Amino acid sequence: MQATANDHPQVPLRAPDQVMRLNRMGAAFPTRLSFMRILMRALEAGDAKVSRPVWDIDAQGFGRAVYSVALGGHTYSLIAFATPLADDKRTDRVIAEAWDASFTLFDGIPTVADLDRLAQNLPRQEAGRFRASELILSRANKSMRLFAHVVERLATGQQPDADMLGATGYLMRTTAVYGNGKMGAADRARIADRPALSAPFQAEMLTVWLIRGFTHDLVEHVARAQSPDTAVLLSRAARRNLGIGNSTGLGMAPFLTNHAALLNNWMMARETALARVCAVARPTPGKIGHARRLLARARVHVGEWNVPDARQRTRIMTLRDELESLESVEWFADPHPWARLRTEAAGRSVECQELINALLLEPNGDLVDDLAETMADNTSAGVQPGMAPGEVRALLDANYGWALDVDFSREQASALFWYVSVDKLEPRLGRRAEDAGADRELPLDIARRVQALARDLDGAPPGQSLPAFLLAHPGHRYMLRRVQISAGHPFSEIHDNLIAEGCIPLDILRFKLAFFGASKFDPKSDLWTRITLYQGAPLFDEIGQGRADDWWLPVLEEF
Amino acid sequence: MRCSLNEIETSLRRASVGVGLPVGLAEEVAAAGRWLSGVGRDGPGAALVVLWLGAPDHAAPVETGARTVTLAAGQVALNGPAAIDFLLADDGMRIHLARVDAPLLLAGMVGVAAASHGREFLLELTGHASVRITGAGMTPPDAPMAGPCDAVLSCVAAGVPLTGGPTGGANVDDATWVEVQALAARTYVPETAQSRQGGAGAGLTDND
Repeated sequence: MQATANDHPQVPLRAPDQVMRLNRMGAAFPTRLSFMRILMRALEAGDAKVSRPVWDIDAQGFGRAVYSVALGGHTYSLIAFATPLADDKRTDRVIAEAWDASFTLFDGIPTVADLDRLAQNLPRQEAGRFRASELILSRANKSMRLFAHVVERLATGQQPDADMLGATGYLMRTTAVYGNGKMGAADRARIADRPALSAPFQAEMLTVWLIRGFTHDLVEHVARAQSPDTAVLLSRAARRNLGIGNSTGLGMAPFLTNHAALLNNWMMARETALARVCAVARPTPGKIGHARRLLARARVHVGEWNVPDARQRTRIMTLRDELESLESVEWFADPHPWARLRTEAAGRSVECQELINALLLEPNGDLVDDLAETMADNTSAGVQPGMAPGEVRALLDANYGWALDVDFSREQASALFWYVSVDKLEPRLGRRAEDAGADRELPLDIARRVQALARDLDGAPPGQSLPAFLLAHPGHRYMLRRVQISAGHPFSEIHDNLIAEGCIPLDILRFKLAFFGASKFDPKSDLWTRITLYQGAPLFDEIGQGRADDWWLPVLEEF
Repeated sequence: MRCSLNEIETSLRRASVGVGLPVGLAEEVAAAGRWLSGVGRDGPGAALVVLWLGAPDHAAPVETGARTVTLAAGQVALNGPAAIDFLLADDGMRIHLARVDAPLLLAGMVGVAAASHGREFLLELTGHASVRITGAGMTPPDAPMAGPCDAVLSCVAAGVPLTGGPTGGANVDDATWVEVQALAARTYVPETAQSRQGGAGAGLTDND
């Protein structure tokens, strides 16, 4: 048991070689340290109120809208443009050129001139240009079947079919949410130190939450325009059941590789949280009761999680059985209930283990919520040239055993390569033996670079300084910097060979999306997934009512 | 055109890789270009001077003395990070660089190092006024830095407060930006029907 500087006892953290493996990362669940949860708590703490100063939408559901909210002493506005889109143009791919709706999170309250400027640029997305007043850029497509269904039902005075609504879970799905300076928009540094936006992706999460409300308003508006005499509004429960979908592709993999220290900080926070909770031998009856309720909720949530993908469906079915079997285990009566629950989970699937680990954080916000402040990374670590080459070599042995063990004499070890397509700069995954472009591959071949660095370090003249080594071997600068980052950031690397046959990018996607707070992962292939964000989350007018933090693994409400 | 600093850095990194620089050096060039843009200098233009030369094909000879390191004539893309490495390894060193091809980009690299290591550096350029560089900027801010020229780099202060970056983006000459994007495009893989269909997820239409 260790006592930390902030007086929270904790057990030893799980090892990076356990938690940074793709099979476990790909079984991640959202936690109370997920970015959407952090934002919701900030909105609640600020009693944030959302207004809608502009609603200029025609009867067909096209036009512009503005939503504004004050948070942390700043006002942010979601600007939305809904535009006609032919079915043959509707794709969730990066290569799309048109969308059902486009959005920006604007820094402040936009003027008419801002709106007119953005009307020309926002629907064009990557083909447009933006200013530092635009913090986030996004676009979304309708879930065509569900949107049409909900319009039809509301127009005739009825609520939508609950099963159909629950099966999809969203009226629109975003296909990109861009921050940090894309297309001329604001660099992250503009907002990195602002209250309530300093944790990772808070501006992005605020954007998506506001988009969710827009989709609710839009479908009601279209229904009312169709049948003003009979149309009704969505019930509150139906609104809560509707989140925002997202189609997530390969770009997340290069992101996590490019942001090693950030990746570490996310994992360090989550694992430290778990370690703090596990150090509590005798939780209060209230917390145990809370955990039991959450376990029951998780069973229902997983029961509602239905996907066509065979691999994930099998995992879900196994998880359902395992959660049912846990019902008969009186872990809560054990003198050390958290440890008992984890021991039970350890004998079950990785999905079950990670669900239980996420569950354990939920009743313990008092122990872990402060860790949200540690999850960002605003540093830019350069090479530390004072380190001796022998120290670097020792770090390779200590932190990169997983990479040193890869047998690159086998073709399967380098079967894949990551690259950027000339087509709208879409990240793609190629097969080295079949596809052109391996000469332009992205530097996700960490394991291969580790081995090359190790060879040259082993062959360096005795006593050579690190600056001299790097001058002689400039190609190792990138990997050497990463190795030095690993010294103080044990979770900075994915402990798997990302160019190997059998690497499933979906595991990386799910991991990052779980940190966003996504649930109901709906894999469509090994390369992309759909997810639902904010399903069950508070609505605009529910902020400040004390229920902003109890929607982990939400279940569909009846209506 | 107005660009974000992240756009500048990302594009310069790709352009640097596009001309053959290893990614680690590409990151140094890109970060330097970003830093220069943030302090009001022409970061992309400074980087292009180096990028036009392509990737260094050999390491410059280095001589080490008691408190000096001398890097023979070579490209800043390689010599710049090397010079800073030697200096950060020993604050008391004086680093001599012969025939620096892009002294402004070198200053950018020094600025990045100053920002992340909390240093103040002195960059002496033959034929030009000396420049003091911290993470926040250089003094004088608009010091002319035309190459090639010899340079001496030294550390004059440590413990300088670490600085956060500028936040407002920068103006980039349109022609310069076009050149940078053209070099960056060398890293993009041409489209094929197969890669379009199977190289990424989601369908070519999504109407469900």
